[in-house]
Amino acid sequence: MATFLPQFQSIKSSFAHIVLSVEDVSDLWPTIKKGFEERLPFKRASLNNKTRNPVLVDELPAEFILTTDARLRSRFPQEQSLFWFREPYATIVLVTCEDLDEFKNILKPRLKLIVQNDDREWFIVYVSKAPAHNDQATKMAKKVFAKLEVDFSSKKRERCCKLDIHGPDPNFWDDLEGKIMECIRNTLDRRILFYEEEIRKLSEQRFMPVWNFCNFFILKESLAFMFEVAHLHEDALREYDELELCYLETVNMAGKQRDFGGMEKGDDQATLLDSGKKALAQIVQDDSFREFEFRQYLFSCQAKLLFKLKRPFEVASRGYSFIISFSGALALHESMLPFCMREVWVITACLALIGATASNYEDGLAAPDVEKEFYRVQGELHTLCHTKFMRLGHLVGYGSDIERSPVNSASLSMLPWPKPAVWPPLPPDASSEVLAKEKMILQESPRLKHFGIQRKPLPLEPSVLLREANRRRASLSAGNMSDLFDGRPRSGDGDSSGTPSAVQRVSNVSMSRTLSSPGNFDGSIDRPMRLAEIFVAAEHALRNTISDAELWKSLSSVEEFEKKYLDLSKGAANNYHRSWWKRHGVVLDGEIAAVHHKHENYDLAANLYEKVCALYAGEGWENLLAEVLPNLAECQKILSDQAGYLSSCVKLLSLDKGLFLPKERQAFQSEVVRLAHSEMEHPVPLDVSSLITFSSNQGPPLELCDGDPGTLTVALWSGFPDDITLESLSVMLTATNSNDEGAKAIKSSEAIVLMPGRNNITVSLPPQKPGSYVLGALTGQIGQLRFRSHSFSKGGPADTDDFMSFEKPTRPVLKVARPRSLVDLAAAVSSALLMNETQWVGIIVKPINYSLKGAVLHIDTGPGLSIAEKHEIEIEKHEFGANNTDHSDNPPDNHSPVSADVKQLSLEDGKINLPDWTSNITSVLWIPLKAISHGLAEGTPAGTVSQRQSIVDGLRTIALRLDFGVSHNQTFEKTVAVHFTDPFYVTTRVADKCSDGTLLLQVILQSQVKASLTVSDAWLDLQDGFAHTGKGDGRPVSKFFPLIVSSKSRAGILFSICVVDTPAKDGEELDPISVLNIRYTISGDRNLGAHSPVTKELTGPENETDPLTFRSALVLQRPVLDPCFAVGFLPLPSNGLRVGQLVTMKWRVERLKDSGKDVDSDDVDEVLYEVNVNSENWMVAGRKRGYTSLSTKQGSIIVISILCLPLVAGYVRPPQLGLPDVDKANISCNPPGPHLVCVLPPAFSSSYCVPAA
Amino acid sequence: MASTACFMIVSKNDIPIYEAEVGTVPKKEDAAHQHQFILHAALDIVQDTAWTTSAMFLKAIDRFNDLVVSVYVTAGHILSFVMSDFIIHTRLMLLHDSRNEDGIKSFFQEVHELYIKASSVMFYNLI
Repeated sequence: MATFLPQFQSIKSSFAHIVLSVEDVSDLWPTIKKGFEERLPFKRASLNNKTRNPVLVDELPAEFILTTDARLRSRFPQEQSLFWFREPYATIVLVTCEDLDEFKNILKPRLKLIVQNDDREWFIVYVSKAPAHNDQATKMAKKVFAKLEVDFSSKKRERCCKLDIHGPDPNFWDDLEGKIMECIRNTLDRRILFYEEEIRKLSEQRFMPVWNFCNFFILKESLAFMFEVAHLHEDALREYDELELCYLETVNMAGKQRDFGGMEKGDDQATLLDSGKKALAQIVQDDSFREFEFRQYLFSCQAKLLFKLKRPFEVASRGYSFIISFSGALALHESMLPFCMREVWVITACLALIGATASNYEDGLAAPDVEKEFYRVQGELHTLCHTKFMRLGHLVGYGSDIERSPVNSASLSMLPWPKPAVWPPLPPDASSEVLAKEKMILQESPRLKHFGIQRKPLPLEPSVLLREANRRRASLSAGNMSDLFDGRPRSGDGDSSGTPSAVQRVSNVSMSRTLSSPGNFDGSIDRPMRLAEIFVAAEHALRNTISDAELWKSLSSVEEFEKKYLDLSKGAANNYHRSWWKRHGVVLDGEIAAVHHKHENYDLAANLYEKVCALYAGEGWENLLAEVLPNLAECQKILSDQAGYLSSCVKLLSLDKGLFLPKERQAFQSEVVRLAHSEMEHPVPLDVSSLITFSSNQGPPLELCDGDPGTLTVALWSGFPDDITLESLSVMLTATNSNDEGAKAIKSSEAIVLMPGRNNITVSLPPQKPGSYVLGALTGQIGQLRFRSHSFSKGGPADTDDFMSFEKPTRPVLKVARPRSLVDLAAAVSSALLMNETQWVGIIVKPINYSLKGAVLHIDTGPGLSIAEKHEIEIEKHEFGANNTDHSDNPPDNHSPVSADVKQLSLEDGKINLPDWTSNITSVLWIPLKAISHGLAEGTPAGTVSQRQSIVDGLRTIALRLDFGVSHNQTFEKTVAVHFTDPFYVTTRVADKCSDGTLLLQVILQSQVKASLTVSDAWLDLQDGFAHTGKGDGRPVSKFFPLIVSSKSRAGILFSICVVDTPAKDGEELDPISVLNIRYTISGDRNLGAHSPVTKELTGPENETDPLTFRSALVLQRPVLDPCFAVGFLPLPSNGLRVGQLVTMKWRVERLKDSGKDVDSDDVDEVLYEVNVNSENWMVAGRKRGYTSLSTKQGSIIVISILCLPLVAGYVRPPQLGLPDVDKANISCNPPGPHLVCVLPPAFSSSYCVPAA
Repeated sequence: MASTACFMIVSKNDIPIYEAEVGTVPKKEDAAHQHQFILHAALDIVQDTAWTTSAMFLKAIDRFNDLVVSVYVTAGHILSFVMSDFIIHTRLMLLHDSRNEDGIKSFFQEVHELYIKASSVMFYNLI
């Protein structure tokens, strides 16, 4: 059957559509051909696939062929079963007949003959030629067609349809298509069954020795081809997949060593997408096919179908796997294949696949996920190609131009060298090339890394090429060539590039070298090849291998190599970027950057390097970052990107210390310092978070009171390898409680030298607002460089796990308490002190959990108060509660001015410096003060209330200001009120009015101080008009003295006086008041209240009796015994008062006595009157004050009328009439004026009133 | 026979938090970079693969010539009862040349157990 292979191939190439045969019985085809072919290709064909499920084919091409056509007639019967797929899928019998007899006698038997072959699917098209107007002919045609249907159609299947040439039925074409489709479907089903059966039979024999893969292949591919023709691409693909599986099984079957293939010229170019490149007949080997070509052929068939199915992404992913697995197969046969055949094939395969899939793919063709995957595979293909291309480049001597990056190193250093049976030898006439290569090698200078980084370059070779190449040659020289090839089938087809010829070349080379370089070796092939020679030899060998001019051009020069290298890198990077594999993309960007870097395109290089560094830095892969970052730094330096360069240097410094040598790290630092101190055009801010970290010191946060400055200690970890000088340093404090307030910078002004590792920095802290503060950020300056660090360090580099963490919950470093009272000043005594005497005024100074060290108290006395500066100020410890009882138990002791606790202080410019021992305890400051009141105390008649001396009169204030705090920053101001008073409050009462005209005057003394008063003497200086009765001087009986008046108690003294008429003395004014004089002593405690005046205290207890004098004025009022005038208020009008209504107030003044003046009886005296009125309530229409004439005779009367206008409604006080010239004692008011009068509101104006409804 | 094995724990932020060369091959100066590079590149693949399977052991997801990358992904929901929102998707990665899949799987399971214990300590803050 294998002999049918060429025929099969030719049939396949010539056969493209489904064939429909037309049996033209009545020569009708030329007439109706056009109409039939217009229906092609069939739209929406419904077919069954292999699993008998209906599949809708959108467009099914087909061809109508007459049965008389040569293509159908010239077939041999035995071919038919094998190539059945090309047989017609339906037979259409075209007939016409207009006569029933003719039909019965001629046509029917003929048709029976045609359709008797059951293998064919057939149906009859009856063509009616009857014109529409000819009813007779039409009727006849109908009859014949009816007969035809009876004879050939069955209940199960309609096999007849009628075409009216002159007026075709619109349903005819649908009917025809349906019938054709039914036939095709049935035929297809039957043929599938047939092929399946055949394949099954053959599969069962698979393990028999007679089994032939080619036969299996022809059957299987026939089926696949049939599916493909029927546009059932999915099924066709499945057949090819099965075929591939089956083939791989047979290929890997043990014991059957076959020729692999791939030895022919041009085989290095992959044909995995070009099925027609080599005829299958050429690759037949025994009962199967050569693996090299056949696997590519199968893949190309699959790819073709996938492209038709619009699944280029699947081609790419299958293709990638195919290339990988095929590369493995190539590796197995590498020793027999041309030098580097595997690498070259992979490169061409990848490029072909990339080209084909990319051109067949349109964006949006697949779902987003599939699209990403497609681009990933494209990236993978590029990378694979890139790796193999680098390997070839390395072999021909471009290794030094390949960047020794991690990615290249990883892909090349683990990729083994090609393993040819024998390493290619040096061609005979290559000495000039060797020289050129040697020159190239010598000119190579390893590129110095920036910062003088001396790092062992990453390897690009799995082992040293020199050794590997020579070892492979040596195996030949050792004479084990026969061993090498032993047991392997020699290629029998005379392959010129096979191993034997290579061996031949080796011997040639050795001879020629001996000739060209005499004196080297003597005819031995043992001389090891030099590197340049290896390169040249590889280049020559590759030239033989590579048939693709484009690829060879890429390897022909360094420039071309780099161009291709860059193209592939870019292709890979771009595709990875469009996939999910961003990391791969960024890493390859690094490769592109390296090329740009080498070619001094620093701008492009820096951009790409930045991306790579950002990836590695972001994910914390420091080892990888350490490889790339110096390159970025170099680019930035050349580009004068100072900000970027500095940032890179800082990043380099902050990498793990083990990644760089100390010397290198010092170089990074010196760069930073150099730039910082150079003149930068634009001073740049720099983030050194990773390098300088900080934290508060361990322990509780610093606690300060509001307004206090402090000192904050911050621990700094410097990642610099050497000491570094900071010109300034600021710590930002951020309040945790309020967001609106920004961070405050606390600056340390002096230059700081940071040592590597931990440093403790102290910064002085100005007063802060209340709240809790955390360290926000660290800023500072190195030279002109402003740096900033945000990084908190928990406990220094010791716990390195958290070293880079930026999300630490920060601990408050400072707490400033809310404003609170830190100290209190209060008067020690609340009770009254003695007025006009020097008294100790106690000020309690009470610190509230705050030290008053160095505090200064300013004392400013208010009006009416002065400090007795002769005396020292005393201070003593204040004891709460206890002191009162102590002092009351033992009062004399407390008067001792110098007790153990009492210290004396002096006042300077109104200030007192408080001693240190009082800084934390409550103390009492005793200040000698004297309140001065110039007025004389007034006694009041008993029973009157409001006349009592107001307490306010005795109040004096002391303004105190305490400056305290760490740097006298705190101030406390308070005004303390001290109450001074006279010792007694005096009230009088006329106790008795005796019939003899004497009066008993009772003087009541009310003690106003918290002290015991001892009255030793009292006397009364009486005013004019009064006199003491008897002959005494007004003193009470002396035996009552001393009279002791204890605190808050009362005492009374009686004086006997009488009223006397005192003749007016010329030139002397009458003494209007009486004065009570009291001599007394006081015994009190300054801790309680009034006490002996300070001067007295100083004199000692023996002078206690030295009495003080208290004077109080008493007003003695003469009784109204001889009234001269009577004033009476006349009744008001009865209709009441109303606001705005004038009213006349009337007073009657009557003279009760003669004026006493020596005048004539008819004389008239002028009397002054005055109306006192509240102007808010009343308006007086007339003179308020004036004279009126009144007869001097007793009983003369006058009425004074004043017109008044009430202004407000309510009870108001009416105007009062007074006679200013007449002493009050001489006026008798009878009846007295009303206290209040009622004023009605004004009457409403009725014209504005709305009548009630 | 000397074997290469590089073990690494990668946090959810892709930061390597633990790295150890556990193979018997004497460490080359440049190999560490290479191993890191291979494992880093494999993160791309883990990212793809992790969501396609419910298994935690992703087996060999990448092959680099002779070296194979095996990955074990800790699942967020399993550890979420321990700590609310971090430790999602920590990856245990092993670069190795051995073919003993079962051994690697049990190694990963042991490490995972230890890892859970370590991360259950409330004071231990995994990045």
